[in-house]
Amino acid sequence: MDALVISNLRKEYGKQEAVKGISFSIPQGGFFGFLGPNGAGKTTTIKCIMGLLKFEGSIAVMGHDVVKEHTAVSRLIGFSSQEFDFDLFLSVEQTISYAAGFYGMKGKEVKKRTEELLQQFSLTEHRKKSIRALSGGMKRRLIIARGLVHRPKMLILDEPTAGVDVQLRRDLWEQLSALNKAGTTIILTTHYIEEAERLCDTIGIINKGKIIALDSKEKIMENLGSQTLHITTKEPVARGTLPDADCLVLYEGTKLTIKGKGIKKKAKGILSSLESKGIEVVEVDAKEESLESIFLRIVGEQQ
Amino acid sequence: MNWIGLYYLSRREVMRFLTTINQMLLPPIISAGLYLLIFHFVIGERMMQGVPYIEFLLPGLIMMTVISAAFSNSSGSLFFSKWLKHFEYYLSLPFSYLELTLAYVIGAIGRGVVTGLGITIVALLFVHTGIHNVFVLLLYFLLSCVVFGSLGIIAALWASDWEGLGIFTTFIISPLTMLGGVFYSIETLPPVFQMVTLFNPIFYFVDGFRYGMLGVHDHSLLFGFGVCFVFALLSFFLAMLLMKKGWKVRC
Repeated sequence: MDALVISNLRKEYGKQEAVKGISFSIPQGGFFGFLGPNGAGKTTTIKCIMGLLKFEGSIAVMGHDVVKEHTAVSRLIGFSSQEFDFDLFLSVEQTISYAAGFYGMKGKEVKKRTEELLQQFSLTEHRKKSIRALSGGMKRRLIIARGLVHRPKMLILDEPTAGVDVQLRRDLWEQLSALNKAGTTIILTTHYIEEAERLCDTIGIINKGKIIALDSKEKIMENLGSQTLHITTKEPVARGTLPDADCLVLYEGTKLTIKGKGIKKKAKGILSSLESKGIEVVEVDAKEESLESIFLRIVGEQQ
Repeated sequence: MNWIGLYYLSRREVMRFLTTINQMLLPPIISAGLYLLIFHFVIGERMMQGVPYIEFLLPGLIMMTVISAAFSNSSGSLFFSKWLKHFEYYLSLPFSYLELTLAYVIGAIGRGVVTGLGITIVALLFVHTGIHNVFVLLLYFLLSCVVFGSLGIIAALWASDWEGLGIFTTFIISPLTMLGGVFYSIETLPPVFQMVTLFNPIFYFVDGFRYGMLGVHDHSLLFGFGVCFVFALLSFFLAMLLMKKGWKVRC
């Protein structure tokens, strides 16, 4: 059973259609990067999953309908929202212990889980502080800790590293990777494409309310990204030596630059072709287009 | 039913006003104390419905303050949560709409209890009074907290800004309370105004509560209880229904 199945999700704000009939699913244990420019429909989609908005279509979490089985779904999902939606009447410690209580944990269990999370997110020394006294980074750690209080099977993080420093971002990456390895399905929206490239196994790109790319990270990089092969030969190579269908070949004496989609797959054939023509290859260097570059290009093409 | 969750949510509601005593609890108690002090000196020994005026006034003042406390607790708490987006977090938790509504009403009852007790303690400085029927007293107290706690939820869901929330208090709750027999017996009014007062639901809460405390009343107790009970049911279920529909919250 998939962790999340979204079927033909549509959401309108007045006359404006924010999400235009998207469908996708995420397997259990997956790490899904949900990317898109501002206003693309990421947060709207996530709010629909959380049951915070009315929508058309259907969303199921581990087989439970998010509208009809709201309480069952909310026990399966942990959520860290983009905006800090804390209860300002509670301290750091109370924010976690009350959250544990909301999920039905009892006295000792609440205490134990609160201690665990305070320690895990380096908040122990700030436990008595009011939320107002926390820095942005501490608030971010606290909101993620709160989302994990009931050990959810699926964790949804809406821009979890927005406004946090590099060290904290790296710490969070390690914690998220560990959670995912332990079996938690993670859905992550982020503006840091490098973050998605590093953490996620599946990428979905949404723009203007439509999914414009959805596949495993490797396939997106391979199918949508271009690769460049730099070959250095012993002797200069004459123009037209290589058949250049679907790719761009630049001949600069002993340097050959081949650029296009799926070049990595064709590399073996290209090298054999050069060898068969008696051309000795001295050095080969392959470069892949980054996910960020692919993202900017395909989103830019739609603008 | 998520009983433990409901306990924590209700505890949060109660803790909210207990940690802001200066803002939420002391002002109504001081106001009620001042009313009693002023009326004690100005009206003196004058009688109303066969009891000294100051004794007659006390249950009305308690009810007026409890109504206001219950309404402002649920409306203020829910609206503040809505305003800070914290309410979205509540909606993402494993709570049914019954549990969410109950937690706010329990908070309203809690604030009603603490405020009501506070006024009673202050009042004992000026008034020597007793309790005629503790069951009736507690019943009307509870009904008023349920009704105005629920109306507070409805007001908070409806309001899109603080000004909107103020409209309820300024234009509905306060005038109806002031004209609901808190300060006088409706027997002292001209017949037309007596008739008009009978359309004011707050009158029945004050009248029933006064009976519980002093044993005197203006109107049929059974009819008054019916009005209060129906209002309690209607307001609670309407609040729960609007919560379920996500009225002005889940768009």
